[in-house]
Amino acid sequence: MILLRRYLLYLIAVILIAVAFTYTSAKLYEEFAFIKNDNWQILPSPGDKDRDMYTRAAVAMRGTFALSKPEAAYFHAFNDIEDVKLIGNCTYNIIGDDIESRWWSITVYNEDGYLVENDEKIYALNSETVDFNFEGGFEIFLTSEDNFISEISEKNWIRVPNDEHFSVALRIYLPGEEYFSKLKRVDLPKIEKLRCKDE
Amino acid sequence: MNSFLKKLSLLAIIGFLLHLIIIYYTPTLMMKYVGRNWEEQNMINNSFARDLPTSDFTEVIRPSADILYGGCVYDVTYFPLVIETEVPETYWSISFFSENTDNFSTVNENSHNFGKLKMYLFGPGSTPTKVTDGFIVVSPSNKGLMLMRQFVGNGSNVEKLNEIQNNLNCKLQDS
Repeated sequence: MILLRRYLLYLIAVILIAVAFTYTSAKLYEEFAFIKNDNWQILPSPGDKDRDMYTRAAVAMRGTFALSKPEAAYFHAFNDIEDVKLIGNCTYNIIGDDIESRWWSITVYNEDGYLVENDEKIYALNSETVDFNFEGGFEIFLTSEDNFISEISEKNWIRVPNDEHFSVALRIYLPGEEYFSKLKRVDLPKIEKLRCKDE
Repeated sequence: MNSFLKKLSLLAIIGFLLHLIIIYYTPTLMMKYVGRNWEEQNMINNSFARDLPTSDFTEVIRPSADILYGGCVYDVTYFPLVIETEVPETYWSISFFSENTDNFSTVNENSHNFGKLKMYLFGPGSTPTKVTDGFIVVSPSNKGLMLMRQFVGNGSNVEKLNEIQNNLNCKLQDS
């Protein structure tokens, strides 16, 4: 019985150590594996068959069926340009220029990584649905405020979850092989906080 | 080194190995989790079509709201899979994911941009030579997933894209 208890303790210790390694590696991976470009982060080729096993595991948890380069580049933003976590009780704008590619889109996800519930069924804007300004750029508002949406209803906007952290994905399809060699320097839209409800 | 330190080192090594096993098998387990209902929904070696994702869609995380997804879950253990579809006028791709979620092959408008498309998907180790009427893809695993993505753009062509998706055909060559 004592022996059994001892082996049970060993087993628990091994599991705890494995969990600790896995948790630490996940944190380190987030810190070092992603290429950062302002408020965006990207894995250069998330679906690639030659990726390492940590990338394979991270992608399986975050997006499961990601394409490899040069098919698509997937940028994600969890923070604004000031490096503060995106949260639904604040209103943001995304300002950028058209992106040279076959097509691109900007999508908002809730904390769990799912599309944000909204009566308007607007989950994303893409290079065909976004309204460009005269200079060829665009501005997209991210907000959960109904009054603000009424004010800007003719403009580009996507609803974000109320009082909850959220993330933004920028998908760029067929941007060209060369694009992937300069992911750190390419021009990407900026996410800026405009105001928060409690301010 | 005293016995306590030896035991601790051994536990740490075994713990680390267990961690590597967890990391290694996470994608395969995710694939199994995503596909937990595939068999009962008769999706193996049959095509499936999904509506445009909405907030109710929780099958995979971070779905694209701009893409119509269709595809086939495949098992090419005994026979190759034949995939046939019409090519849409919008952006499209047919991508293959092995059992551990690797995207080992993608065909898109740069490879074929009009009319009909035919593809043959073979199992690992195959060296097919007699196919002349379509693309050949060899999967590194017997089981996996093919996904067809169609960009809906401003939605003006969504009916046609739905039609293409619904007519996507996947069948084992011998069946």
